Amino acid sequence: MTIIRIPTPLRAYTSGMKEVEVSGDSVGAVLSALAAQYPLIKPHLFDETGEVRSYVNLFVNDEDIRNLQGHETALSDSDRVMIIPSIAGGREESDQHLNKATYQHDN
Amino acid sequence: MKLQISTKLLETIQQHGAASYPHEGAGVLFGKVHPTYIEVQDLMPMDNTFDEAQRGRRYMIDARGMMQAELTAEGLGLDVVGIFHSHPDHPARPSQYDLAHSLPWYSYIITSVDAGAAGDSRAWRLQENRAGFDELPISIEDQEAAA
Repeated sequence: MTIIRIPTPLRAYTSGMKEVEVSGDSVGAVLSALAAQYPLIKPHLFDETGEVRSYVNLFVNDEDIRNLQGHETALSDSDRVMIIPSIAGGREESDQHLNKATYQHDN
Repeated sequence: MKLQISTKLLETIQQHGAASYPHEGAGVLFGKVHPTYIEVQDLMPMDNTFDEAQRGRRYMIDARGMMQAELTAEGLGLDVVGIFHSHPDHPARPSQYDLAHSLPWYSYIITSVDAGAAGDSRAWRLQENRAGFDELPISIEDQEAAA
């Protein structure tokens, strides 16, 4: 059995569980097992074509699976898989500077 | 739902935004989510890893940074409850880009930085249907006096 650590935004879909224990001998297998055990998490991990969503990053212990063998990375019982979201954002495209009057009015 | 934070932590967020100017600055919020409020108890300023040419209007916390933040929170006995970032010369409101890239459940504190000086900080949470954000009133709670 492998422990998968669930990031806080996805715990709503694992009955609040911080860590879930699933069986599987590779990263891909445990991810599928997680989705089978908690079907509500599936659309947040995989897109419509079954590919893992771009903001979902996977680590085995502290190593990104992109530096290992990706979803084929083999797991042993002592490994812990971490699901880590990518974080991005930013301001509006416009280069217009802050209009204080509008801003305060907005409040 | 409101967001509770200390004066000291809010000042740290604002100073990080001002120090990052003209780039966007960002970091991770640690704390606990209670039934009626989100309690920010600590934070971790992070590097903005977006392409340098676009850091004035974009931020990214890469996967390795987020993993370190998750482990730090775990070590403190806290959860990652949200993200803070700055909007240089723009209001402390989520943009369309923020909407497209935000995750549910996290609280997002946005600080406006106008010509290098921190302005307002406001807190937001993505709506469940991703149609927009709900603003979370920020409640300043300083507990040093009780210690």
